[in-house]
Amino acid sequence: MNIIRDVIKPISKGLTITMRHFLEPKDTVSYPEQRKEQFARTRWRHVLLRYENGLERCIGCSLCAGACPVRCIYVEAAENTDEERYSPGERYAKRYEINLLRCIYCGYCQDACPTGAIVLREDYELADYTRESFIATKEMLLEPLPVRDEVAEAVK
Amino acid sequence: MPKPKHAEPKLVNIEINGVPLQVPEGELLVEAAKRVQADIPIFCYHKYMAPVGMCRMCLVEVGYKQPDGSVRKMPKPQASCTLPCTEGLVAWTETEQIIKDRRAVLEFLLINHPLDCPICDRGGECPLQNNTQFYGPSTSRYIEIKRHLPKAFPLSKYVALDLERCIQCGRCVRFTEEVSGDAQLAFLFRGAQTQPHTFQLTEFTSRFSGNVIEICPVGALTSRAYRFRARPWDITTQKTVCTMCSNGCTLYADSRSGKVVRFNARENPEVNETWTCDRGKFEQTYMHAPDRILQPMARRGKEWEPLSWGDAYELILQRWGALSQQAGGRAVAGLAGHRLSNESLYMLQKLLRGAFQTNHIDHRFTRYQGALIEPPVQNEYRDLEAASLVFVFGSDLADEQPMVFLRTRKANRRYGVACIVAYPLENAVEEFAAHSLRYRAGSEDALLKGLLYTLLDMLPAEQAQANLPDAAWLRARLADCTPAWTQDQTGVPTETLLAVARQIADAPSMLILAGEKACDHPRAEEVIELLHTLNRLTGNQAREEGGLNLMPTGANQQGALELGVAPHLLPGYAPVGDAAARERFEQAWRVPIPREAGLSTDGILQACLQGEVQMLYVAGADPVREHYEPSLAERALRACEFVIVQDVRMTETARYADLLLPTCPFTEYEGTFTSWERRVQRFWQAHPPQGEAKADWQVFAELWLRMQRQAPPFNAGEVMREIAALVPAFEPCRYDALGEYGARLG
Repeated sequence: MNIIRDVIKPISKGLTITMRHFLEPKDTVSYPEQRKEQFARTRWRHVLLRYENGLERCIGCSLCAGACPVRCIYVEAAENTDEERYSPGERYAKRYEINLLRCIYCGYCQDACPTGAIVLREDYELADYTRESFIATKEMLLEPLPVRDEVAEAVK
Repeated sequence: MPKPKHAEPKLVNIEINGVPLQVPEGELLVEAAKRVQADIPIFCYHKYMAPVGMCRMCLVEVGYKQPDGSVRKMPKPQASCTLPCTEGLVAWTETEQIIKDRRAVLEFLLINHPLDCPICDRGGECPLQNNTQFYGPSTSRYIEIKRHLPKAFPLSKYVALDLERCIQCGRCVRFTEEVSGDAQLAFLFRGAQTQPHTFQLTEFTSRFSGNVIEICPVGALTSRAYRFRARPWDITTQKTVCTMCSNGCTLYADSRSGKVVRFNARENPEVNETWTCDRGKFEQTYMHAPDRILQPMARRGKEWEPLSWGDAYELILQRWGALSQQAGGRAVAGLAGHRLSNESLYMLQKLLRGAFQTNHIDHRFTRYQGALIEPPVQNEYRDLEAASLVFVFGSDLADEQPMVFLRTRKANRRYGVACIVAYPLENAVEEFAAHSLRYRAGSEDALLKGLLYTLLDMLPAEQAQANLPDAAWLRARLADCTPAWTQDQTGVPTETLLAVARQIADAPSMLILAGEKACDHPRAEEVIELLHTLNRLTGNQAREEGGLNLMPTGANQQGALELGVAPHLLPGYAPVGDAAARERFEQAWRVPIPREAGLSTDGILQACLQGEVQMLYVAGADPVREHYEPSLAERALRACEFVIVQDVRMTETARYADLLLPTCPFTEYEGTFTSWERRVQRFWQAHPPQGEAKADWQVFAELWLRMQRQAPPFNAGEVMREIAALVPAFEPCRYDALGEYGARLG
């Protein structure tokens, strides 16, 4: 047995790899203090978007529910009135619920949506304690109202 | 010419897409193509309306076989919806030319049609959407601004009109003109401004307005009740039968999350074709009424105490135990409603006759509660078209029997069947009737007497004698009922009466539809006897296409008669007094049946007042509302010691109950109904029962089990099997044999 060839060389070769990785920038982050940036097309929890004027994009058409392969979306539509307007046009979603336990995050709903209202975004922290809390209601999914410029100015 | 009932159509040889076939002569090409599964897209064509060829969607290439065997092609494509099949016709539905033409037609239609499919109630079940998918261009070349018109204009209480979406096919306009007869819709304006609307833009008032929603091939006419309630992929569809009247229209119940969101017509060429009335389509909401009874409850003073089903049965058995010691079956009576299934009605009378040992059972709340011995109806829908004269007597037909009205109107319009109406008020039949007898309300008997008197004069003596052996006696009885006397009594002018009698005397066959004014007349027995006399005297008793029909009003009122929910009849019109018939049932049920006929509804209510009936079982009925004398029903219910009310919701009668049992409405269980023409049709469970409600037949079966210790039926099909084994008329109604369109009894 040749000490140099059979023992020292392989060990130093292996340690070289170790050292190389040791010197590289680290991938591990100390979650939850640190969070990694998500890829642009990550598909996690759904968000219901609004138009710039604050009206909801969702028109309650139920096409997402129709496209959903696991039938985890429930949409109940109602009619907009001039006094109570949620979305442009005649129809809006009165109830919009997604069962996140059942959802497989395939993004078909996003594809089906004719107004681009429902999108899957990077919010991946979905753990919870009860089954009921996994029913995401419209209030939970909807994007918060945009803060108007003058209000934002005033806050500053 | 009335449509002969058993005519063999003449067949012609045609060829579609190279497939030779035989079709009845005159059948439209668009219909014939369905026989070889050649799909021809359509918009304006409707199977039950006259073709107009407005939309040009159904274009096909057509040629005719020449004597030398060659095919001579027409130079241009033809509309297949207006082309009747004749000998030697050859058609091609999928040529390159046709594919191009269809694409062009659709492109034109889509120029003015908004693409708001995601919010349109028709989206997902829209013929325009489907045809565009299958035959249309995949992209649009139209970049200009689309026209804008009012959205969701409330046309009537039930119908909303979206003018932007209309493609001017004219189906709705033609429907109101051809089928419903109110001719309320018309095309206003011309060219690109053409729009269907009511004249003067008034409200669309029709008994059949809901149909235009279903026949509209786009989302221009939509239901206001169903507006934004669900999309086609959200709902589950189940076949069912309407319960709002006795016409037996077949429906689809569409439910979402255990709630029926709408009813749509289900095609049945023998019954409702594809129509519904607004009452059946929109007003049938009682299954989701807020006052549904959801669990058994017993009265404790002024309060209701919830019970389990077991305790409820125990309570009934205790009461019966005490009663059977003293008075026996005489102290028990049952009243059945008109919305119970055939199976439930059979089980109810079996329970009362077998377990409670009583024949006090009835379902009739009109003044006519006579001892019938045979079916009070003779005809079916098809006979309306085959008879040469339809005599509507004492019925506001469009209101009482909407589908019979539509068929009568169709018979008159399409086959020239004459129609005579006798009703005290203005009514829809007058629009097409040859004569209208507006008599003074209450003088039905006088009118019939006068008519019979005149007919006896007009008909040849030997014919009258042959049809009616006691014609001489009748002549003597009606000696004073001259036309002048009749005019004095009824207000019907002498000339009209004579003209009507002349028409009846000359008609080869006559079909009488007797309505509520006959059956609810203070002297109903006499009026109905006179109607029978009229039927016999004109010889229609024996004719297939003629006859007398005492029209039932409730959904399964006819079934109640067929299945022995009558004091004097066992199922199948077998008299209770007949020992042989009784023995047959006794053997099957393994229990003796009381031999005397029981009391009818009025008798039962009187007996309650006198304390003779101490336990009253009211199943699905509401005597306080339905009985002709509500105060009598109310006093009787108050007087009766123990009232069991088994119903879907908290009716007026339920307030007098001592024990309330919750049952399912027709959408929550399966069974069969018998319509006025004695047609038994199946309905299926559309959604699960609410609360602890059970099907009526199941409640009776469970009581039967507790009282008789016999194996109960496990499903409605088994009950029907038992009925079919006992009543030969029900033989074709076993569930495995009963087809899509039901079967007629007898």
